[in-house]
Amino acid sequence: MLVISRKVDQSIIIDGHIEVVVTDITKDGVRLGIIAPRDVEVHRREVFEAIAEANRASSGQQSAPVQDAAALIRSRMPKVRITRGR
Amino acid sequence: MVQESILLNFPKGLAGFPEFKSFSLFEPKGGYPLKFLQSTDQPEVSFVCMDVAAIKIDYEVPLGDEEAELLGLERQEDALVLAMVVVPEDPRGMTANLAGPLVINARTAEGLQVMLDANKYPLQYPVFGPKDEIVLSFPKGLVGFPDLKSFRLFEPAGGYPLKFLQAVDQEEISFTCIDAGAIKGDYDFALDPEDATFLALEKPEDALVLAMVVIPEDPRKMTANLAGPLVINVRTCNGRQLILNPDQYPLKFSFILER
Repeated sequence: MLVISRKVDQSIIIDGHIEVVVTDITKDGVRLGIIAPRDVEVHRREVFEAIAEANRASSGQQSAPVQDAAALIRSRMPKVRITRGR
Repeated sequence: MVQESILLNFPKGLAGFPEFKSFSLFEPKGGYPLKFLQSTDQPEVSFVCMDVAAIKIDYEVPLGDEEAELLGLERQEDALVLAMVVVPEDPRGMTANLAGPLVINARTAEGLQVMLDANKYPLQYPVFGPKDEIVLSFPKGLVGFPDLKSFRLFEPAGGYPLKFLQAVDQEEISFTCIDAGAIKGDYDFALDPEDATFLALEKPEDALVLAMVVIPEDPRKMTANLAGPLVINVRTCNGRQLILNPDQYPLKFSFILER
C-alpha cells in the first residue's frame, strides 16, 4: 500500500483524472473531497460492502423454499382498504 | 385459500346478473390458480376467476363504509379478492378485470362485486404480460459481482411475486428479487445525472425497480434490500444497481412483519 502524507488543502491525483483533497482534519477524522469524472463511482467502503453482502445473501440457496415465501407474500399483501365516503 | 368447493352468497348479484345470488366457488381439477364461480340456480352460468394476489400483490380494493358493512368485513385477513378472467383462444393473452373485483368475506361467505373507476383500475389486466423471461444487461455488474453483466429475469414456477435474476454466464448464480414498489408503495429515490443518462428512462412505465430478497428459515422474517435497488429500463433492457444511503433506505426491510 502506498502511504502519502498530506496537509489540509493538499491533494493527490489518481490516474491523471481523479483528485482527492484533504479538506479538514479534526480529532474525529479526516474530511476528503473527491473530484472525479461522473462515471467514477465513489462509495463509503462499509456501505459498498453491506450491499455486496446483501447481494450474496440473496443469491444461491435460500433457507426456505421460494414458493412458500411467495405464497406467504401473496396472502399478506393488501387486499381491501375500508375508506369513508368513497 | 380456498381448497374445496364453497358456497357463496352475493346478495346483490353480479354486474349484469342481478338475479344470481348464490354461487359455488371451486378449483377445477388441475386448474390452479383459476377458479370457477358457478351459479347454484343455473349451473350453466359460470365465471372463470382467480385470486388477484396471484397476479398483482399491490392491488388494493377501496371499500366504502356501506360495502364493508354489507360484507361484515372486520379484518382485512378475512377478505378474499377475486378477479374475473377472460381466457382467449391463445391462453397466454388471458386478462383479468381489476375494475370489478369480487370481494368475499371468507369467514361469512358473503360476497360483493365492487365497481371501481376503470380509468384507474384496468378492465383487461394481462395475467402473463410482464412475466415473460427477459435478458438484461448490467454493464457494471452488480455490487460485489462486477464480472456478471448479463442476466435472465424470470418468475420461478409458483413463485409470483418473487423473481429470479440469473447470471447468463454462470447459471448457478441467481438472485431472488421482488418489485420494490409493490412492497413499499412510497419507495422513491433520486437518480444522479450519470445514472439517469445511462438508464435513459423516458416514461415511468419503462422503469422496473427490483429489490434483492433474503428468505430465512422462517419466511415471515424475509427481508428486502432497499439500499441497493436494481433499476432497469425494460424497453432497452439495461440495468444498474444503485447504492443508496442505508441510514435512509433499510438494507433489511421486513416487508411481511412490518405490515
